Amino acid sequence: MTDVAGSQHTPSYGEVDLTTCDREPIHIPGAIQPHGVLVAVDREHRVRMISANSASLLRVEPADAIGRTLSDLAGGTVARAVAEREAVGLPDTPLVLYLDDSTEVDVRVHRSDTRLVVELEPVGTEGRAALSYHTARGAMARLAGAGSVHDLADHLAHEVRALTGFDRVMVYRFDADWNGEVIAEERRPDLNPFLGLHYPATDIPAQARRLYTVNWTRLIADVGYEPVPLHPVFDPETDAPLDLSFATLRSVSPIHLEYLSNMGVTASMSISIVVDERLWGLVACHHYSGPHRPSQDARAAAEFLGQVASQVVVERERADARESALETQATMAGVTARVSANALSPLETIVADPDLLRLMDARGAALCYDGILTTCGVVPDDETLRSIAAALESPLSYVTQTDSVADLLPELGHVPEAAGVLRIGSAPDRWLVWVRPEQERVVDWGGDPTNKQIAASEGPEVRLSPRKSFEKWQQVVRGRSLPWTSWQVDAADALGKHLQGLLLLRSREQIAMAESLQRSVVLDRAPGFTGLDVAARYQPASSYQLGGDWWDAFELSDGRIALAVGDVAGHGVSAASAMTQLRTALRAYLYEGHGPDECLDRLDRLMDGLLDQRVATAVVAVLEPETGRVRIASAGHPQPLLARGAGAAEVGVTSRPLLGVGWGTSTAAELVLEPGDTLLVYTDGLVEQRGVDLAERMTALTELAGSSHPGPDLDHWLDGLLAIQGPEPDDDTTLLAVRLAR
Amino acid sequence: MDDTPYAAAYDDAAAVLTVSGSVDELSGPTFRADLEKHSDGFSRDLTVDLSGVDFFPSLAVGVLAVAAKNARNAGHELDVVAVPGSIVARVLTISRLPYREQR
Repeated sequence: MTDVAGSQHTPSYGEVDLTTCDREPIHIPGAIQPHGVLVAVDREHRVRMISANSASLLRVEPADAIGRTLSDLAGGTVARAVAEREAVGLPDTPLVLYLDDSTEVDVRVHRSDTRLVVELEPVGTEGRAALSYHTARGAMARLAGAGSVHDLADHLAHEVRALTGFDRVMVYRFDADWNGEVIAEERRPDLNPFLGLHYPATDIPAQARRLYTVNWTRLIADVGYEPVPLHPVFDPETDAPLDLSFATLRSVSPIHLEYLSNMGVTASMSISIVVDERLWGLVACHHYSGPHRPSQDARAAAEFLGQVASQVVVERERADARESALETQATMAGVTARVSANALSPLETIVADPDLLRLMDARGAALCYDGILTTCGVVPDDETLRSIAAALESPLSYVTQTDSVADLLPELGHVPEAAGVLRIGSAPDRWLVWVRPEQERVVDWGGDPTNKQIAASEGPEVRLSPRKSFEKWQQVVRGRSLPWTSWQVDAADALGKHLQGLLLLRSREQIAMAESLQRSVVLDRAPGFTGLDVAARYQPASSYQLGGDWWDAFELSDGRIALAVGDVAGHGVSAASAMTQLRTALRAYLYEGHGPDECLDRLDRLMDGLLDQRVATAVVAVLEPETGRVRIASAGHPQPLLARGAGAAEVGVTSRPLLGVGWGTSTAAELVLEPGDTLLVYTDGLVEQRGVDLAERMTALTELAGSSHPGPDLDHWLDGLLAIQGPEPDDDTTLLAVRLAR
Repeated sequence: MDDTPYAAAYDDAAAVLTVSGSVDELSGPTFRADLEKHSDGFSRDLTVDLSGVDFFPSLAVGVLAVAAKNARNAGHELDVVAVPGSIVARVLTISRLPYREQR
């Protein structure tokens, strides 16, 4: 074997370089650290392997030790204690004994395959004030009393530093990808803080993590130690190196030592925090002022506290999650209460809600309802939003989410506003999404995570610097947002369902309310007037949507009869409400004595001023029953028809523009109803239908009105005209017919 | 006589919004938004070519009329273009909304 610098630490497998350190068999180095002596004995407790420094403690050269009994080598006290421990199953509690020369030693015994491994270590000078029952109870109580994970970590760092006297004690937590973050720190005041620094997963390779999961404490008492090989390096019985996974004296990887010495670390210890057999984190202890070797007692006590923390941390993590979930629920309750209480549409209210974004820790949100987008906060452009929402749509799931839109839709390229998206909705044109930007978190890596590759590619001369610099190295995490938590996903689900329920309820309420409104103002049947027959029909649209149609017939103070048919464009409560206002205003104008043309112009101005963004059409007529004289005016309305004899024709009123535009002037037409003549006014619902030519339908109506010639029953005639509509009219329809009574 | 879906294209250089298909209950709000967007909130003249529209009910008339009014109130013109004899032309004639015949 060639004696190269790096291989001294690991004589069993020789030199390791940076490209192979992730495969380095660190559990079988064939050497130990020099601060103790390791002895491997067979079943008869005869020495088969021993560390080359045996003389330092046992006054026997390794070659002379092989084959001798433990009792012979280390004295009767040690040999009896080891036998007793073996008999009771090798408990891991500290054992302090005296060698025959009265040297006080820490003794640890464990099994490695067929060998019993005995490690002897002069009692450490540091941390002799080990945990008493009293101090242990106090430390445990403080750990158990910690309210959050961070609180717990702070306490743990404090207790471990008090016990072991290291210059710096950090609590280090792994993420799902095995990158680590320093979440708590206790340090000598003059040291620069490591708190908040992140370390890439490559810093602690998988086989090291495996070892840390089974052996919970490691000590490097002196980073500059001269490794001590075992004698012999390979077990003479198996020809294999001794497995030192559980040995406290195990010589560590030279790469790890370089890593530490580059950080200025002179001694180090780490204690595993293992939760459900998974390495949750580490308590990492660093010393900067020379070798440092806490006593086995202090180490055992620190390990014990690590175990206590391991037990508590799961519960604290749950508590932290519960806390966040409760906060989300409380925010959610506020949002749903506001949405429910607001008289506006839930869809308008939700997007305007001040807590919509906070609820999900999002920066922006977008609502798509029937294809129409409303957004708030910081969102990408409409097209990008629609693509993302489409990509996240799933027939199986009402809620879908991603924290990496870039992975989902690589073709979109970089979308900084929406790296993460949470979507609810089960239809392609009805959904709500929250978006999060790229993880704003600037990760402070404790060393450049790409450095290792650079060092390796630069050639062997830079091998000795796995970390050239331990200055804070910043990396902006690209393309990903913070992940969506399970409680946020749950809240999104609940909010979506609440909205759906509310929409359904509101639409029912709207229909019921507006129907009663409409019934209250639009009469079911025409009133009777002396000398006149008047009939009217109102037919709602098939979609159950309220229309803005109305008709009216009433007697003016001078005995003339006013007749009106109108149609406010649009549907729903607001159209119906505008209709009632127009109808009342028209009644007022007519009752004041204004002519039909003047009334329409006034209505136009009224709408323009008070019912902005709405338009309507109307026909207004004033009739003298005695003479049959009619003054009639129209605003953008289909031409009234006059059925006379065996035919019917348009009256030919010069219409003003529809109401609400704020321009144009009415001109009234005059006509005289002869006995038998019937004047018919209708709304466009009768003739306007999807897929039907408007002009053809109007011609057909005129022909039907003529050929079906109104008989004695005007209502019957109107029913016949209504039949010209298809089975499912798109719009509501109103018909009003008047003639002189016979 | 099947309707085609609503589509709108805007020619920035000519300031012409060309609309086709059916302007109905579903696409009405989009039509309204398109008119507002391409006239910069009615702050400039806009030509609306409705030659390709095959369904234009009263709801669509309402949208167009309100847009025309908003433009006029802002001192601008909504120049509506329709094919003579088409459904749009008839509806606009009934409503007395001014339009220009497509050449």
